[in-house]
Amino acid sequence: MENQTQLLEVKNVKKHFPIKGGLLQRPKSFVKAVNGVDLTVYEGETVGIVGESGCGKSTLGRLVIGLEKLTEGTISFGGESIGDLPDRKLKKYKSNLQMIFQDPFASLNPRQKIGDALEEVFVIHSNMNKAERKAKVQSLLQEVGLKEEHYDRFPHEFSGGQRQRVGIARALALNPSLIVCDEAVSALDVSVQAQIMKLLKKLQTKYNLTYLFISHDLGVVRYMSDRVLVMYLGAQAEMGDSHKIYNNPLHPYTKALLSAIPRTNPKHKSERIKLKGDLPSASDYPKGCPFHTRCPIAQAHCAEVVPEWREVEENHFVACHEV
Amino acid sequence: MTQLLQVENLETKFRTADGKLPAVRNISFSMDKGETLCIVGESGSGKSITSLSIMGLLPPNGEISSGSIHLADDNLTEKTEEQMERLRGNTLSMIFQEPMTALNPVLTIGYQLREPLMIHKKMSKKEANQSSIALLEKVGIPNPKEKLSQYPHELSGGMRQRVMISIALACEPSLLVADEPTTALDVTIQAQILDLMKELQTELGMGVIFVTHDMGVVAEIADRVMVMYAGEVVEIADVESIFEDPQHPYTKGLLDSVPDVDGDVQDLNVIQGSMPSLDEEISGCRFHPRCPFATDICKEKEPPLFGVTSNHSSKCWLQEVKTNGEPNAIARS
Repeated sequence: MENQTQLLEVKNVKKHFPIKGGLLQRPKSFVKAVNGVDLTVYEGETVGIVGESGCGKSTLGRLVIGLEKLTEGTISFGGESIGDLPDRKLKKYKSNLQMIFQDPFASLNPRQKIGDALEEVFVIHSNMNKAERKAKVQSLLQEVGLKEEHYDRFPHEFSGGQRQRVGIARALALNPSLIVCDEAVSALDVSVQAQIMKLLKKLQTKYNLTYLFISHDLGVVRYMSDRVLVMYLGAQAEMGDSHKIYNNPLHPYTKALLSAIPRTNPKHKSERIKLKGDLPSASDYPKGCPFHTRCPIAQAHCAEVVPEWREVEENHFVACHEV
Repeated sequence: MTQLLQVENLETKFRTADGKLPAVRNISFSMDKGETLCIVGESGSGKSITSLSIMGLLPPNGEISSGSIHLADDNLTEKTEEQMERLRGNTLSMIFQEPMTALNPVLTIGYQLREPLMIHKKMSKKEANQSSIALLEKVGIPNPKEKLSQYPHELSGGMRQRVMISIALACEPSLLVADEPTTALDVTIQAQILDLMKELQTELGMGVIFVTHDMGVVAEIADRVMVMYAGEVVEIADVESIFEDPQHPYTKGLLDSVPDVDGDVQDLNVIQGSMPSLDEEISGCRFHPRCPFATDICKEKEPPLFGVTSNHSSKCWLQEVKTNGEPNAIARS
């Protein structure tokens, strides 16, 4: 990783959403959605972000592409800190960063043709004329495995897989360097999911794209990612190369998560690590290590002291007192 | 083992603007008491409609157009709505994917738990309360007594699904239909719920139809597996055979499409195309446009369910070559 260009740097990023209450709607408390994450992403790699619902993985993705404002910390992209950018420059920055959402149908206008929806990008970000735009969109459609005739179709005429292809075409339109995929294949059936993942990998090689791949599905993340960040309740639990995280997980949460996945082998009977109870609410943030309320190896000090983010072996970080 | 459920030549159609379209096409299967049958398939395969047909809970524009469903000695397709109501929640029960939409948000957990007990078991409110506490304890809910006066929104997703299970099991049904009961849950919670369901099944000896799209969950919980594609049963077998010796190209494709959590380098074998819509008429085998092994006969003639072994059938012409053409038209009789 050392000889690669650093593309994105996330430093001690926090995002707290206020819960307002009372007559004056003053913040009463905060939901700590993202609570101190450090992440460096290099050009051309895929970093997977996994965790269960409420762990802050989607909020982190939205912070990176500038859809949410930071509470604390810095995010720099290509060496420039985006918190300090004026709006005019921010537009340029955003064209370099794109996002693919879980349900592209929700973000498409049902009464607008797919071709027109895709062209809009170029109306805003370029000065191409109508004919150029149409040609460009048609080549994009082909790039993602759709046909030219799809240009004149409406969103409801597309299947789930095809809609996701439209979402990918839209993300690709401005030649971005980083694409945040937020549960991009989660709503798809497995056979279609496999097609889309293969397409994403093909496009990555072709255009030297960098992906931030957010998903709750550990199998999908392993298939897609070079490195993986495991999040729990807004905090980073473990980070490392894919094969290290999956073959030698260190954090008790990563271990529990991996042991909980049902394997496609009826004879696989390994002992499952059972986690007690449910995820605590992010508005009632536990003191000390966020995982201590459910951790099978928690000690007294885990409830008091926040574990530090340590590099236990090369490129393998973990936040746990007991590792 | 004694037979619990026998479904024969079931066809379920939907009235749409384009006419009556079949969502389930002439399927037959059976299951024994205490057995777990997993129905797997992707969206549009007809797996949920099959389970809703058994429950008699089809949407207003859906109807069973032919075939029969026998639960023990009752033919469910001949029952009136009133008679079905007496069976549902009693000998026949269902759990849904999203407990929040299945539970009534304005009624307490206690009210919703007492309801089946008071209607079907003719219990008094006091007796039903006692049984409700015992039921909540059984599904692993802490402080069951307090939970009775709480509302669904006060519980987490996993807890809600536990409540759903306890309501479904209140009258000790002989058949439980579970439609994607863990799909909306996180993996660690899913693991808890799957363990709970296995435990309760052994204890109560009920038959379970478990509808899912997740092959991992299938491997975990099934005794037998039925794979559906575009309204048809394409393969049915015991769980080991499905995973170790899958016969139908669709089953193989489905297994190959799941990325392996335990494998470092992997290449996914992708099935091309997507599931046909209800109104798409496909000649011959309904899978042939996506099948990598399709031959001329696949395009012309619909394959029967060929027996692979006594416990394993596959609806594919490839089997004819292997078994010298002895179709075993009914999955298992």
